Amino acid sequence: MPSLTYKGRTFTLQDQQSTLEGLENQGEVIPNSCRSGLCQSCLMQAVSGTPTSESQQGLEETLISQNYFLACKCIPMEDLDVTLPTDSAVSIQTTVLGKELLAEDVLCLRILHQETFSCSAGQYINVVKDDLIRSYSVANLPEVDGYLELHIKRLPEGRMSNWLHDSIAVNDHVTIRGPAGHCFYSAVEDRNFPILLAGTGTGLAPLEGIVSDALDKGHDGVITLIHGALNKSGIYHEDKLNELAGTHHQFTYKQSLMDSADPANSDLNAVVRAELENLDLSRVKVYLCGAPALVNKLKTQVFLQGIPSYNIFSDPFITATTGT
Amino acid sequence: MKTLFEKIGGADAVNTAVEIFYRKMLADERVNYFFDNTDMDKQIAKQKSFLTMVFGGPNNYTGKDMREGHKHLVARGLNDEHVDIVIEHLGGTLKELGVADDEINQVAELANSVRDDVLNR
Repeated sequence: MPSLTYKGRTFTLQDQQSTLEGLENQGEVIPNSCRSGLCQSCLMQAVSGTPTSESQQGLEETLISQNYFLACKCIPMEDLDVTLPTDSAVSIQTTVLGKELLAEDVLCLRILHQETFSCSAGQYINVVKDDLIRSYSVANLPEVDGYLELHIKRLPEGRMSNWLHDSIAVNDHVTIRGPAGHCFYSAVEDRNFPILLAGTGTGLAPLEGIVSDALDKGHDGVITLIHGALNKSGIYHEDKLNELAGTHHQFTYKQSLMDSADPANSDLNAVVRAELENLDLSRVKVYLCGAPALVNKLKTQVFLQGIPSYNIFSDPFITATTGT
Repeated sequence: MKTLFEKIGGADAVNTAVEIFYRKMLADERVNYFFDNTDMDKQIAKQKSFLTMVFGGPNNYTGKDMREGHKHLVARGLNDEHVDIVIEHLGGTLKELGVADDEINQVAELANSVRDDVLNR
């Protein structure tokens, strides 16, 4: 088995053990969250040895070339000497510009956009607080607005979300990393294909970002956004989206509420299926964001309905699996 | 001699085949519950390497990976019948793509050759 060196100490990994698990077994504290290779919070760097290519999936080229990798996905093939990245190497510091409550438990956080930090609406960034790192989607057009807008749902035991809701103040500094993720608007040949976006809770954030991006770039195909929630209290930005629909003929905004008396509206899966029936299945691009179980189910459903897998974009919101 | 992989059109054809093949698997109640908690994108990537392999294309197939990758499914009851179903859908997929019967049989044979690795025997 390959050996791992961290902070000058060397030990042997067990069979099929990831770098993250190995380090945790040794009592080390390594920032992590989704533990499935998506959130990038367990980013580390190999100062000697080469990390597996699987552990570098989704990383930017510049990071890959410097042997950065994701500890949760790295079952090393050779001996590695690893280190946590320094903040100055992979993070930037920026400033909180505004805080506003969107719904009972959803905070809108606006942070200053810096030109060196290039990200697309719909991608996610990581917010760093000591050894805590959590991912949030970009809900707006940072280059147009001059700030990044994040929607933060308060989780009962969520250390990061509670800190952002209760403690951080306007003008405070905040450290961010990223961006990452492939869930964003892209148009290669034409801008008249249909777009269907569906999500629950703060899964609205990336979807709103994608809609803004598409409209800003002059997309003229039909764009339908469906926001799902348990009930009306989970809905936010209703006025903003209705207004957007009023000023852009190609854009439609809908809600799917689980407590709705109308069965055609209460089941998000059914609403999505019905919407797709009116669209050109060979051309429509589908964006799905929100709780992983729901996103996975919707993905399978739309794929079986006939959407090619390369036209399905998703961003499952995986919450931290331990010690949130 | 050209491999089937080259004959049907290489990587592009594999991409098309996976779309058809995975739809068949997901629509089949005899096997689709194995995919309940899988990430579709990762699954499609895995099936691309599997199909590339059974079409005789460039691949880095290892029996060890196949064993590791299916261990948890064997624990959930994956057995010969399910492997048969995979081969059945593989054949159906190739038929839709206009591949001749004797070539379909060759693919089935190759797929069959990894049966023991998949079932961890």
